[in-house]
Amino acid sequence: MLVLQGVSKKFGDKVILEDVDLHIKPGEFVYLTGPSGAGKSTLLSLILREQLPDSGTIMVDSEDISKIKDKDVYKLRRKIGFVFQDYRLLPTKNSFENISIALEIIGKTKKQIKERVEELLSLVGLEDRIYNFPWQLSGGEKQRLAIARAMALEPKIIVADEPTGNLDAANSWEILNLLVKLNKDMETTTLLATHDLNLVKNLKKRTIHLEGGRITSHD
Amino acid sequence: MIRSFGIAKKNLGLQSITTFVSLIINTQTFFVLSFFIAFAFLSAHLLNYLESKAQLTVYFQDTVKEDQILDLKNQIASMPEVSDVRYISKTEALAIFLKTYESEPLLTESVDAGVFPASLDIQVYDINDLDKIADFLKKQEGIEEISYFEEALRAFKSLSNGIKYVGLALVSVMLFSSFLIILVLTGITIRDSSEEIKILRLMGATNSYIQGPFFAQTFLISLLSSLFATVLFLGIIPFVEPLVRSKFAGVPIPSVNFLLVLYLFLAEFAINLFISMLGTWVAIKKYLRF
Repeated sequence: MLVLQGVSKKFGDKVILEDVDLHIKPGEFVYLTGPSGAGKSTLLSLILREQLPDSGTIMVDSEDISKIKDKDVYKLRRKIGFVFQDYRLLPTKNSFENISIALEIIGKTKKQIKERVEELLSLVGLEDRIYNFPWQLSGGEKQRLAIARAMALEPKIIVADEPTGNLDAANSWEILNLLVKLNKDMETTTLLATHDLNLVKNLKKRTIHLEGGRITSHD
Repeated sequence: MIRSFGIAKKNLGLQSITTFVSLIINTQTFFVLSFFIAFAFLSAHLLNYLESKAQLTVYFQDTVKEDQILDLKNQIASMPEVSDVRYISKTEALAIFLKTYESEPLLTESVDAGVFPASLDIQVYDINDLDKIADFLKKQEGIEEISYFEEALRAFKSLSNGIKYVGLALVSVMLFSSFLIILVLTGITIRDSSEEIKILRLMGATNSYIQGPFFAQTFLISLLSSLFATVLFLGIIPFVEPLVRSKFAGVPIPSVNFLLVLYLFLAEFAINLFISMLGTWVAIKKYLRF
């Protein structure tokens, strides 16, 4: 599902990623661990094609994403759901609208959007927060909303960059369980970047450790 | 489409000051353009009118017989530069005089046909050919006087062209300002929405989905400012029209009618839309990187 071969990235003279090889099978749940500055976020950003690698190839769903034309990047993005530490919710839109916009983008009808949004809100336990704006939600609720939005288009891959970074232990555990449940129920390939080793210890999954831009260990 | 206009309406409300400024600048530009178009229309009409009137009149001495004048008339009429020649006999000249001054008996009571010379009214296709006709007439015998207002026509044409060029330059500068204003307004909207745009891109929004609201916003500004400019122009017509009519008394100036205003609005809207869309396109190319 996701294959990286010899991927390197530099910012100026600073090496961020060096010769990274990675192979994630469809439906796998993988932790990407490492200290701050290890290159985790850059790796996820390359997968989302927010930037291009200096060398190496990234294959998503058997497609070399470096070869995708700028105007067609949206097709790749529709295959990948994203969850970030800072939630990336639209502050002027309520919970319903934050999810519905993802469906609107692909041209779903109002009826289809309503049904799907209600289904997703119920999946993440936010059905009673449907008309609340992000500022009216707790950190855990915001992240659940972000996950619901990420799932809206039934993506093949979920990339989560420190999704528990702003949450307390209880909420972090809840979010992790939700991502694992979605991975299990919907077979969504999940790559979760975190520096929180407690999470990794408590819920054993394949772990890739990144340090100084290089993969230092595979579990 | 509906979504784009919905977002555009919301953006215009959120950026009320910038929207207001761009509406004012665009309205002002197209209000001035309305005047320029009206002036161009009026001057073209006046010129046509003046050119359609007798441009050269040749008066004959009393010794010249009517047959000779009619012979000359035929010669002139066969010249390719001449569009029309009309013979006015002494009797006709008197009739015209009496009709013109019928309300002033003091002027008409002691006049008879003997005091009026016979004449030929000559019209040419191009006023630049008047000299040639005049030279030909000067060589003929029995010519009392040749009268033509070539210089006046040339002066009017040159003044009218001068005003057109100055107006065109002024309108061009104003159109460029409108272009810049739209460019800046779109740039500000893009900057204000940069986070949202980033998120939409990550969600897989297409370029057209992201650009749509900016073009819709420009469309609304163009439509409103063209409408305001036309309404303002219509508002001052009742004050300006009588003034123009009194200055050009006797010249049949067409009245401002609904169709004329509609054409004016449509022409202005088309220009406005083109300039503004160009500004938006440049701003999108510059600020909205994909």
